[in-house]
Amino acid sequence: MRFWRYAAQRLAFLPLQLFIVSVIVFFLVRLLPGDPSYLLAGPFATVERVEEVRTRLGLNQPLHVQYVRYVLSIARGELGTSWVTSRPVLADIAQRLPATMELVLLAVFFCVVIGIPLGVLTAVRKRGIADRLVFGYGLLAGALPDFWFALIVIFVFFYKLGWFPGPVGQLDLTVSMPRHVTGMYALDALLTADWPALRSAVTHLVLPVATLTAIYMPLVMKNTRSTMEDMLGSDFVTYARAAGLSRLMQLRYALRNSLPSVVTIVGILFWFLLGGAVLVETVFAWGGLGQYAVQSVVNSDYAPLQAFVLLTAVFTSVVFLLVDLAYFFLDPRIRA
Amino acid sequence: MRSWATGSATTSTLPIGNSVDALLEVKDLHVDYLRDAGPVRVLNGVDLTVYPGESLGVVGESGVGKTVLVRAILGLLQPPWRVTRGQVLYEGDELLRQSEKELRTIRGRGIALTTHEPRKHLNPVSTIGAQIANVVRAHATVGHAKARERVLELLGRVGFPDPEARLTAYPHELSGGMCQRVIIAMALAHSPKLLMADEPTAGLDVTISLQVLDLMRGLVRDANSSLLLVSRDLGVVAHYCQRVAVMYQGRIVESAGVQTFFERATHPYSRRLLRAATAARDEGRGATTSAGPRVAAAVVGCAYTPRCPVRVERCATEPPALEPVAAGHLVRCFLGAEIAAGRVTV
Amino acid sequence: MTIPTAHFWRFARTQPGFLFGLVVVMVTVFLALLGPWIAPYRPEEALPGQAVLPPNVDHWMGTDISGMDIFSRVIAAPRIDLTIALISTVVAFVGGVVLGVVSGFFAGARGLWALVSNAIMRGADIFQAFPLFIFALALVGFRGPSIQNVIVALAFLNVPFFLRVTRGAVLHVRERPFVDAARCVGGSGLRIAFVHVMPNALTPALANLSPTIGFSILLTSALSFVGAGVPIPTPEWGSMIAIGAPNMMTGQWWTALFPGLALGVTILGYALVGDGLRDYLDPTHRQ
Repeated sequence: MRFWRYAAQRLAFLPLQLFIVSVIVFFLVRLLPGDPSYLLAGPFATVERVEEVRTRLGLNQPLHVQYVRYVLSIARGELGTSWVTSRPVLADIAQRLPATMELVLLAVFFCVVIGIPLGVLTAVRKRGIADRLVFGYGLLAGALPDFWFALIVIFVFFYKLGWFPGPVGQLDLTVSMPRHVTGMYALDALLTADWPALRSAVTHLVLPVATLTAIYMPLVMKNTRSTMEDMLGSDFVTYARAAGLSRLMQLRYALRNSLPSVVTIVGILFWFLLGGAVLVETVFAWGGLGQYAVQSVVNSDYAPLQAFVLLTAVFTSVVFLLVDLAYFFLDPRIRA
Repeated sequence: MRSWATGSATTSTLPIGNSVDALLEVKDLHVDYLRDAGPVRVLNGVDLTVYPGESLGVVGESGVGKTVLVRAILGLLQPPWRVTRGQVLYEGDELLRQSEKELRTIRGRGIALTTHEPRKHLNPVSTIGAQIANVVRAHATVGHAKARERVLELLGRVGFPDPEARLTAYPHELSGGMCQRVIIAMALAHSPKLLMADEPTAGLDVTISLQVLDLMRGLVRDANSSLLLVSRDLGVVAHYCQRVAVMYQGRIVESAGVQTFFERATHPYSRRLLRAATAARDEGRGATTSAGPRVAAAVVGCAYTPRCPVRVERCATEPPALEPVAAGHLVRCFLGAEIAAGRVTV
Repeated sequence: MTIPTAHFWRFARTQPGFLFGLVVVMVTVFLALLGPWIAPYRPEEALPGQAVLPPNVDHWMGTDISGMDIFSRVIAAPRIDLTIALISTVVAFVGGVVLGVVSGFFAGARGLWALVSNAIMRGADIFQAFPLFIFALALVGFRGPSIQNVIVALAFLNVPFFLRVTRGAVLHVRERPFVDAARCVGGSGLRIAFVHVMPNALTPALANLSPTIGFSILLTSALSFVGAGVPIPTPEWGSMIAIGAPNMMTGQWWTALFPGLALGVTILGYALVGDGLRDYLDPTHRQ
């Protein structure tokens, strides 16, 4: 089967990529001026404690030995210990990952569901009122800082209108957590039919997801619009028109040919949203991975930060891999 | 190499004059290309008539607006292109004023099109079987099996040795010549009354070109259709058409029966074209002409004035009309009659 | 590169967005030079007993939680924001263009330089696996929050971008006849790449200078917002928004609104200047 051969080729590159990513993260920390032992031990550590950390981590050993130890520990799933939470980083991450994924996945969903139709619409009705409005909005959204926009949204919809809860995390304090299934509260509440928790979780999701969607949706929309515009003006759509094919059929040709590009932009959207989520989580006190990373930076808690960077790079690498695999089905030209 | 004037056209009887109703009449067609700096006139009053069952060749250098003409006839031009004046009459109906919906019933059924660069005009992510089936279904309500049958038949007619095996091929898996055959299959799916072939052989090997042209001519004859063949190649037009129309800078400057044209071409530009073609043939090359200057702005007088060896004063200031010098022989030149009579030599 | 002024203004007059962007750029540069001096209050001075005042005659944009005058801080902020963005963008521009010229000029060649060219591209690919803001956060995080570290991080982050646009242009330019001509007279590869090819391949990178400055301002303020950039109380839009954030939830909207507006308008302006310059330098892009 040709797909598996293609997938295998593409997958073969992934370990190499991850290897290099791990090297980058490793050297980022060690080649920079200063001694990470201080960072690792935390700001209040004594000299003896720092020395102890240095020995324990083997920071007095040669770089390549350190690298091997570092990779082996990652392979064992040991990402170090956060001195702020005093827990293994892996446990901290496992606990916070679902919250972030819930946010990012929902934002991707809405960006796609709103952005693609708008992009198609404005490509078809060029220079109409909708096109102008949407163009202005796209320009604006590219310039607005997401973290500021989040605050404005909170001011309007929480303080002024009171429609949605304030930035206090994923659930009301009075609501008990739904039983753990996936870790995503809204989904878990739905799965366990825990209606009070579901209601609370959904109302808390609205503002952060709306913020991310409002700021990042234009990315999908603008790309869809320009791709669709190219495709609608392409020779093959012109020929379809010349052959008497219906408008609907012409649109189908254009849409089908725009798909690969749209899938790519959705991959890139993940890349953007991971960064955006860090900021928006901070504003909404979301308690996800992004907020965890920011706290690590502020507290010089180095192990979680390293793990977080590694994790996002792995995540985006996998997303881009999936995009490549999707191409196989969407564009027959690369199957050759 | 075959001689120009001994093509298929020599023995034909030309339906010229008003005895037969025209199938397609293009009158005074003006098309602009809109730029920031202002419009550029690309078609500057094209007049053209195609009669039922005949084959007309439109010749001209690249960039004189042949493709634009073909697309304007089918109502395919979109901004920044704009038709500013003129008429396109198909069986007496004005196409330029018809809605997209009305035009759809004519496109592919009344008038069909084949293009240059055929691969670029096929949907790259769809199989050719599906694409031809879409064209078949565009003007006929047929079921899946019926459509498939028709696709196989069309593929067979355009010379695919094993149509069944090619149904699931994608355009990128086919050669340029094969893609052109697919386009021809689509164009002929509904036995159109007029086939417009826009540079059907550009970019194809010489042998493949001839195969494609022979195929096209055969199919057009079988269906009793008219052919409007647009080409840079006088030789191709001479061999495959009954009448020639020469286009220069957005206007038709001469039109005549093929034999008349090769014996008594009158417009100075046509003569130059002929000489260049003959020279090229004698040297064994296929190219006909060098590229002329691009259309820059609306020309007041005759566009050929700067290059014309016999120009007179009024050439630069007023445009000559397309006027007969003999029956069925029209020339757009003030000196047309003198040249035709041999009183002026070009 | 010389810009024929008359022609330039004739173009600019027809482009309202571009004009708006130019005004924004001029205002920010002016404020970066003079902002702290023309501010009605000292930007880092906490006025006693005047905390969280709404906008009024004395404080046009109100005061923040520690009694600092927001208007003074908003117009003083471009000094630090623009400095960081400008330095990091210029460094990234130089680095990106050099790497882009090398990787583009030697792409598909043989020997050592082809390896270099490939290595540069793979490096850029892999660096771009890290989401931009997270990478910036990590760089600053590992080195500790400080202005220098923000500059280093942003410079580093913007290199792949300039690299890619320059490489794209080089791939076109190197096919042009004058490059062959230079080869024929026996120029060395590197010399041809930098003397003949590079000057003709700068347009996309130049047109992207302005938007990148805007984007760097956004990243700087985002880093400052989470406490990983410019430290409080230095006047900086992002850190001002951070100071105002708790007030937004209790209704004191002016604390975060004004610095955010200044930030948004600035980023928009720099982006529009980039669009305008691109259209001006490459008229085929125009709609």
